[in-house]
Amino acid sequence: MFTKIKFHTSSRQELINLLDEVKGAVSQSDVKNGICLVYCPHTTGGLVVNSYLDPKTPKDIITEIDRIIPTRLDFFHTVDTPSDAAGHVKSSLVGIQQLFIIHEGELVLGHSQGILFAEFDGPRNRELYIKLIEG
Amino acid sequence: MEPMKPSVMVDQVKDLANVLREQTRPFDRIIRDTLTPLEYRSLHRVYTVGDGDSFHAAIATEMAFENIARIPCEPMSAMRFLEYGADFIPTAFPNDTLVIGISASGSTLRIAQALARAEKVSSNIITAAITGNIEGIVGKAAHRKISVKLPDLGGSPGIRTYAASLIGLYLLAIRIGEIQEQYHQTVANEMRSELISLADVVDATAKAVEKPAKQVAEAFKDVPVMVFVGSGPSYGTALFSAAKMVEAAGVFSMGQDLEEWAHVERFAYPFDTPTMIIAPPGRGYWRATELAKTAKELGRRVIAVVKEDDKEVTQFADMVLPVVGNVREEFSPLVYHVFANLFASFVTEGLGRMLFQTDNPAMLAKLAANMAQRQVGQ
Repeated sequence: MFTKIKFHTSSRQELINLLDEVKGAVSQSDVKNGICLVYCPHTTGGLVVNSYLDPKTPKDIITEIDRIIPTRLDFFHTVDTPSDAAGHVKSSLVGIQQLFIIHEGELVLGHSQGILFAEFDGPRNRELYIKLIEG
Repeated sequence: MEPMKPSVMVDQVKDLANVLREQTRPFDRIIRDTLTPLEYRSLHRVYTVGDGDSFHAAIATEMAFENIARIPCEPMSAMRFLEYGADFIPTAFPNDTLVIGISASGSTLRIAQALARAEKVSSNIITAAITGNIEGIVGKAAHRKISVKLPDLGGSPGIRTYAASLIGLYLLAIRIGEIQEQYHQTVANEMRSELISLADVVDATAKAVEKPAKQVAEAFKDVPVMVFVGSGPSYGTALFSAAKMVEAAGVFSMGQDLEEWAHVERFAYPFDTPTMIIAPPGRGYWRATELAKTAKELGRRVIAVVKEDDKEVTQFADMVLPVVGNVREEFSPLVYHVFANLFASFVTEGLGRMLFQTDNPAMLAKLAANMAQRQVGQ
């Protein structure tokens, strides 16, 4: 099964928890045991699995990533914007896909783990691809 | 050099939409790299410098720099900038000022001199040329060159070249605002697409306005003077429109700011002077409505250049030259000048004249000599 989640980000940089949307895709499928691939088709976004219970944790993550790769004016990629150029680097470091286990029709995750979309150059219209594989 | 027929202006109008469709992306690609992100980010003010159509383009795009890019913009004629502007630029930081010289031919001496003067005033100032010929003296005088070269359709009063200058200036404004983070790049890209989509508006307007423009031309071809008025960006359109009438038909015409007309020209004879009120939806529209009423009461023959479904200005108009489609006020000069080219062409034809007074052998010889001199200068 293949599905897409579409959403709109609202800030230049943010982490958005899409755990419920991914869980929903699993529960609506016939896959009871297998693998769930969540894939981000963007070059200035990424996917992070981490705690979402305290909103300050995602804030720490995005802030520290920005501290490592600040928006500078001397990136080689100039055809778009400096924040776009920084977003490409951030996306490369964070990665754009995550694999999860499906067991007895449920997504298996740690109790505080969320599936966080990392927006590095918003606000924009975004989407994630979800592929569920029985096995 | 041969006498120039009025029909070449119609050919130019027919190609305007192509300029928008085919040249906007290539121009944009150049502009994105004209300045580095650091330079774009450093800008605090812009001067746009031109003569004739290029000066009109500077006035027509001032609002785009100020309302889209949110950067102060001062349009100036080249002579004014050269002797009364450049030396007084309040520069304080590296790369805080951009001086843009606009020249379709690339051979306007005063603009080249203006850019050279700006360079001497301070190393903080970046100069750029927006030109159809980057090898000309204007391009050579500038630090950066933005080519808005178009495929040649032969001699004519500047129509496609005016549109090319407007497009270049709009794209520059969009880029400044984008890099200065006034809006996201997705918004900037939407504005770029919006410019291209105006090709359809230009096409529809050219078709819709042709017949009424012929009627207005037939009605007014024998008048001694015509007046074109507009506010904000439309002041640039008014100046451009009057210039086309002079260049094409040789009929004395003036472009004036809407409010200034109320202070000065409304007192002029003849009281039935054709008065073209250029009034796109936007900030100055309310005043255009008031002054259309005033003009009508004074006996002026009022021609409204308005959106096709306009009601307010139209109620006071003797004739209407419609614009078909929506355009934001900042970009309105790209569309609202279409009528003027057709109108000027039809008046010229009605009077049995040739463009640029080229039916006068003395003028023809003078223009040919100027052209030869320009080619040597390049």
